[in-house]
Amino acid sequence: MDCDAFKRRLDDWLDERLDAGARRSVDRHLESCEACRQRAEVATELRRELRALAALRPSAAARRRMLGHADRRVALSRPWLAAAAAAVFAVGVAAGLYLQQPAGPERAATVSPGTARVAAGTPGAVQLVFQSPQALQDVEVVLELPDGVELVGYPGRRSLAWRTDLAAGRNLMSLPVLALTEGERAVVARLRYGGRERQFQVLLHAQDNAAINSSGT
Amino acid sequence: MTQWWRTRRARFEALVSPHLDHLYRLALRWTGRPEAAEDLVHDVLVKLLPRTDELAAVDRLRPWLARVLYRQFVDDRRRGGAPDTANGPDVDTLVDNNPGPEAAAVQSIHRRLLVDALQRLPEAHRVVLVLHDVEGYTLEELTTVLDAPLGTLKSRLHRARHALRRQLGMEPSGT
Repeated sequence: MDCDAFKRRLDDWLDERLDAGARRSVDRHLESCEACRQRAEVATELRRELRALAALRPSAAARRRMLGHADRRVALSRPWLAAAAAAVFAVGVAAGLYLQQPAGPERAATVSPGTARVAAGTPGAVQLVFQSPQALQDVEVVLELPDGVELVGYPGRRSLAWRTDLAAGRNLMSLPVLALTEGERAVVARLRYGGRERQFQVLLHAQDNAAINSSGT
Repeated sequence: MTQWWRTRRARFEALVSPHLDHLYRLALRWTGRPEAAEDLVHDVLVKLLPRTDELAAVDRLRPWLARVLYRQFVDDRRRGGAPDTANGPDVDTLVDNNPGPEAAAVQSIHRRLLVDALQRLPEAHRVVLVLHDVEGYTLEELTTVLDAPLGTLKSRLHRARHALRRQLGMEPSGT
């Protein structure tokens, strides 16, 4: 079996739809081909992550609404509501955006607006806090990473985007980052809603692990 | 009459409640919005309540309900009533196993990116992927749920998986 043949059989292999003979051929190919082993691992991992989405449960309130026991919420779909929310977004979202390192035995929490210190070469969770004056649905978050900084699990990616809802008040978003080398770099976070965009720049100070420990912070 | 109605409703809810989470998840991934998902499920249940006796006679209610839900979803889309699914859904409550702060951060961002990438798939591909890879239906079951040939569903599933891997940057080098 060559790689092209394996790629054609990957889905059936993943879904255990291959007969015994075909499965043996695939197994033999995987023993000798690193690239196809990676393909198989990636496909298996993605399948596992998709399966985990089945753990989602609606809230008790949502269940009652679906069964017709409670009035359903009015969706934020009316244009005038959306426009009002967008105006609020432009003025008030992320007034308190800052980065915070989680406190731990090896370093004290460092909180300063728009900056964070991390140990180069060591993954760390950097907390973004967005303060929103009201609940906002379907806000697009775009994260732009400079060279030398990665989001853990996404090597080589310079930009990532996703959508989320913001609750009224404080919203904590934890980013697993890895600074590959020492230095100071800017991470840009953009929030887009209702045709408007807010941009935030946070400075990431990556230092040698020993330097961070010796500074006592 | 009131007692009859209460009894009928209780019987109906006993039949559908075990499948409510499942229906909600399908609706959420198909519509992309929690409110739209609730509306879709609610509208289906409203239509099914008068058919309680029929439901009680169904051998395997889970795929039967999924089929009805899918048909309602398609009808809504044809009428233009469903919202734009390019908008990603909120992430609702998730049962997790408390992995610790950094691992939890990775899990959360990965999940958000996965859900967002899922919502960017073409509708026909997303529907099959959600039913098969998330909810665990076999392709054979889906030929009935979606009223489509096996070959068509295999092709959609293959394309959906490939597109999702590419969107997430998970395609290995040389692909």
